Order: sequence, then structure tokens, then C-alpha cells
Amino acid sequence: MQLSELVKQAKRGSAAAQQGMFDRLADGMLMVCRRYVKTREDAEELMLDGFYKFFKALPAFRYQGDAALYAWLKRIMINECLMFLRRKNAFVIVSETVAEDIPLETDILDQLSAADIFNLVVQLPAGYRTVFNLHVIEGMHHGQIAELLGISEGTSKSQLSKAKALLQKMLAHKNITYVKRSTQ
Amino acid sequence: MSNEAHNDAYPWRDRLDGLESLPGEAGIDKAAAWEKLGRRLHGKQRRRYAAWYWSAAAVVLLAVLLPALMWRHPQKGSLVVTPPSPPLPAPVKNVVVKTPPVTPAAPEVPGRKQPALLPHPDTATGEALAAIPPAADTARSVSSRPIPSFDSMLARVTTAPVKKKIRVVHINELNDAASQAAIDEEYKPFKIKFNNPSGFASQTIVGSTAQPERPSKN
Repeated sequence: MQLSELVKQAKRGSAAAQQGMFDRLADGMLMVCRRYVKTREDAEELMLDGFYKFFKALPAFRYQGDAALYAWLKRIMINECLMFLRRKNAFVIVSETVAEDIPLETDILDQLSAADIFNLVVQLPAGYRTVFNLHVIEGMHHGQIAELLGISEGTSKSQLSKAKALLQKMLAHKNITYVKRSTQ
Repeated sequence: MSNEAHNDAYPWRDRLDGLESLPGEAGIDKAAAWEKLGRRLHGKQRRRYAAWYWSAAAVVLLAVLLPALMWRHPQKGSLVVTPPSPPLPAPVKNVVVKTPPVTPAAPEVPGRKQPALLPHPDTATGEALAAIPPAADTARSVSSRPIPSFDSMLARVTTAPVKKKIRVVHINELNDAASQAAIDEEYKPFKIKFNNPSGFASQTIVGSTAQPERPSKN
């Protein structure tokens, strides 16, 4: 069944349609949550909380395509994760206005599989990881990130720079270098 | 930065975003997860429906019982037709009725027993009230009791219990126990004996209010 049809029936309160939507979207949303929180158990709980809010708010949602629905659900999941991190004081971000712009070696990352990139990202500390996820993966501006996390724009930039620097170190540790790439 | 530009800067972003599981890792148990979520989503709804059913049942029950209760107990404001009272007995002359002292009506205190209403001796209504035998059932008595006139309503008094006067006897008037017994029938002699033989003689204390004489400090 099409997602649009499932949405229509789920809006009417059909439990079967809701379950169909859950089955279709749960895997992707779990990975979104796992990018933000470290443990899988926490990620599963947050995903369920997010789906609960999603289904509660679904009757008021106007369906405008699968991409819009997916973006909305993902935003709910990210908000749940950020609230969780804030509750746990998981990221204590020290204000730093000096942000050195470190270019991320995207070519190297492009060679890696999605699972490898995922494993690298989740190894970052919570503060770096959150800003990296919000900026690089979700495509948010530093102003938006600063507003969302209650930090300054400069702090957001410096956190991103440090996250990139750490990722470079991790890549170097894995012996993935430009030299190796150029020899291929 | 637009999304397209962002995608150009990070071309691996879509792959990471579309990742649904890690290789070699068991996926989520969707059936168990949905059971948990479904319980949260639909459990409360069922409870809400149950509350609706209970409230509807209560309303129906009230609708059935209320007319039945109203049929049994007429309202207080409704007019009650009393049967004509029996002829009054002939007034008895030269009968002296002792009346307790009249005191103004005290405000009703909750939990305090109200004294019985005594018939007023001077009015015919009082005698009529006295002639009516006490009814067993309160509800019946309310319906059969004649409405007293306005005068007798004003004369409604409360009786305060008469305090028993105790005769005050001066200490010098007390000669011995026998004479005291003649004065006061409830007199009970009470003797205090001191252990010291050379001490005081036996003393008699009359009544509980009499204070024993205190020895002077000097």
C-alpha cells in the first residue's frame, strides 16, 4: 500500500495503517536516533516516543508528499534526541568564539560506505556529534543550531571545526590518506 | 547555503541519511516495538471510552431512579392537606402548671440536643398541642401536626435546666456530723487522720468546695 493511503487511514485512527507506517519507517528513524545518542536502548526508546508524538499529531498533518512526511517525522525524532541529551546534560559545550575552519576531506568520506561513516560519527563526543549531525547531515545553518542548542553561533562553528578535526584524526588512524587514494 | 550546495559539499550525506541498518547487526523487533507503542496509543483511548460508558450508565441510572424517588418523597414546598383534628377536650380549671423560667432562645449549636417544646399554658393552642398524642413516625407527625398560630410561634421558648441550689453553710455553723446531716441530706463525713499522734485532731471537711486550712508559714 502507498504511504499516502496509509497516512489517510492512519489519520482516521486505523491501527493497522499506523502499524504499516511504523513498519515502513521505523528502521530509518532508529538510525537517525542512533546518530544522536550512543546507546541503542536509548535510541529505541526515543524512536518510540517520537512515533507516539507523530501519530498523535498526524490528524492535523496535511499530506504533501512522502518527502515532507519523512522530513517532519525526522524532525520529531531529532527534537526527541536533543531533549534527551539536554536532560542528561550530555553535551556541555564550552563557549569558544575562535573557530578555525577545517575543511573536511569529503573525498575520503565519499569513498567510505555509509556504515563506516556512521561508525565514525557516533564515536565523536556528544557536543561535536550533535553539531556535526545538525550542520552536515541535516543541513542546518549555524544560526539555527545556535538557537536550537542555546549556544552562540561562534560556539557552533568551533564545535563543528573540532568535530571535523577529530574525524580527520580518526581517518588517519585508519590509514586512509590521500596518498593511499592516489595510488589506487 | 542551499540544500543542493550542501549536497555538493557532502555528497555522502544522502547515503548516511538513508541508512536503515548496520551490516551484521540485528534489526529492531518491530512486532514487540509496535505492541509497546500500540498499547500507549490505543490503551488510553480504550480507558477514555470506558469512562464514557460509565458516565452514560450513571446518567441513565439517575434518570430512572430520580422520578421514583420524587414519587415517594413529595417536596417540602408542596401543600399537605391535614385531616380535621379531633374535638378538643374541655379546659380543666384550677390546674396550676409550674412553668420553668423563660429564657430567650439561644442560637442553635450543632450537635446540641434541643429541649422539648412545652405547651404554653395561657393559650388554647398550647393546650391543643398538649392534647395531641406523640406521633411515632416523624414524617407522619410533620404532616398531621396542626400549624401553630403566630402568637404561639412567638411564645416558643427554650427551657434551660434548673441548677440545683446548694445551701451554703458557714464553717462556724458546723457543730458535728449529725447536725450537718440534718442540714444537708447528701452530706458525707470525710475524716483525715494524721499519722502523728501528737499532731492535729481529726478534721472534718464539708463538701468538695471547702478548702482545707493552710498552715501559716510563720
